[in-house]
Amino acid sequence: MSVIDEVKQVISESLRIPVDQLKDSSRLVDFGAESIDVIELLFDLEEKFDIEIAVRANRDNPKAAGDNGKLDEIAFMPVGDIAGIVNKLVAAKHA
Amino acid sequence: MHRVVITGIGVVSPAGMTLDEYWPALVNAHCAIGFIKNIPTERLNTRLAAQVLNFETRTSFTDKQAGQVDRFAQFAVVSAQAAVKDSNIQISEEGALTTAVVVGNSAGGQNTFDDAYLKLYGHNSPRLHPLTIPRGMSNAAASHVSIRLGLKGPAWTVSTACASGTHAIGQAFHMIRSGQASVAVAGGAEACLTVGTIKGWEALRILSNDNCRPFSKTRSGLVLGEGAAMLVLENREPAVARGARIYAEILGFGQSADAGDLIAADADGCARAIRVALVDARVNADDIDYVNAHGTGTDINDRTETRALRMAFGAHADRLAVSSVKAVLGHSLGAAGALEIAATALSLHTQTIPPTANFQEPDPDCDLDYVPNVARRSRIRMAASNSFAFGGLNAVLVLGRA
Repeated sequence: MSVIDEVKQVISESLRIPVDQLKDSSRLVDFGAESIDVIELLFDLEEKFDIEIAVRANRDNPKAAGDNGKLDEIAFMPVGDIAGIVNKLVAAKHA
Repeated sequence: MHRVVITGIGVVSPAGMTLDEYWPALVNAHCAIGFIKNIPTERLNTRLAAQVLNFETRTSFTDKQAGQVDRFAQFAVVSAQAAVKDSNIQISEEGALTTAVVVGNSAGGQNTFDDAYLKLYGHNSPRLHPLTIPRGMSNAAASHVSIRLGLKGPAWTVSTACASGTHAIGQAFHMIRSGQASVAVAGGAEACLTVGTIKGWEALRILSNDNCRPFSKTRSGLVLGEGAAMLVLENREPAVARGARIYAEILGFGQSADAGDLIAADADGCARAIRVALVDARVNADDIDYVNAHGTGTDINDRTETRALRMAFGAHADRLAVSSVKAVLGHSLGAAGALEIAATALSLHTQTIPPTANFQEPDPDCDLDYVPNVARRSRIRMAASNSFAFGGLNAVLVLGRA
């Protein structure tokens, strides 16, 4: 299974969305995801791939913000881009 | 209906154990946030907390007694004893029967449970200490305050997360006002800076790793704290008769539930609590000169609280002074409301508004007067103290000048 498919599988289970409805261009917000859903999803992805996704729930701050932006941006990000973040972190782990 | 006054204040705080340390630290914006020292940090991503360092129990407990009492309940006892001493009240045996103890607490004896579970799961210990449960129970603080001070009236714990201390003092206020109690020792206590609790907060992704800057555009989240504040509340008439020093009068208490999101505060729910408090106090919005804000330093709280203040106060919001002492004290959850009501009472008593410390630059979404960085001498007739909890439970107290 490719990373994108695995990410879709995790999203499907985490947000209770049928996996066949998840396109690369789907956004979590289109499925009614709220900030707490995004926090739970990030936890599930971290657990599944054994990575740490640096995202802060707070306003961007040069020192405090994570590499991957703000939490509310994740909800508006295409699933393909979320998979891209995971892919990069998984690759970095094996590097 | 009796009038209710605050005649004693005791604190255990990251900014000091006495009012002579506590109040100047708030007024001078001496931030008490620092690197975590009291617990192992290798498993933590969080580096910062507002800790009560060098907490000394010997004046209140023998070593044996201290071992039987969790840190949060020790904080409660030490601050309650200080408050009673500060009030100069003599509680007779008969008076003790109608003296209430109401303590706000969110997390219970986390130090006890964290140690116990490390022993159980980490070290495969076959048994736990026999006092694990009584030490860890959430009502331990109320129990130990009543035991140590010999107070035999109603005693209980209020648990509404970050609003616990405010709910506790509000309920004690209503009890005295209605004649159900003659005196109350009320406040909040929290000591949950454990590895387990901090990891839980990390998972919510709202902790700052570079300081607490409420209402500032550059704010980056909240910083956890710990501590306690206990107040002595009295029926005003006997308090005046005995010549008590009165810090402030409690005028009103408002509560509401958002009945919406579990985590994200709701401006309408917060505004309703403020309005209920004003109605309970029988005062108008423009009677309030100062609001001690919940002001956690998270993106959403500070925006939402600003909106709630505008909803509740209307045009008068632009004339309010608003400040958050969490920039100095961190967020001590169940103790926060009590420490902040103590600050609000001292503010009325000294006619000085403690500033919002660590303020860097204005945020267009937070467009009120936050008294940035420098305290202000000002005429304060009445003040409100806000607490908005996870779970959408809100509490607001209105205080008046003595």
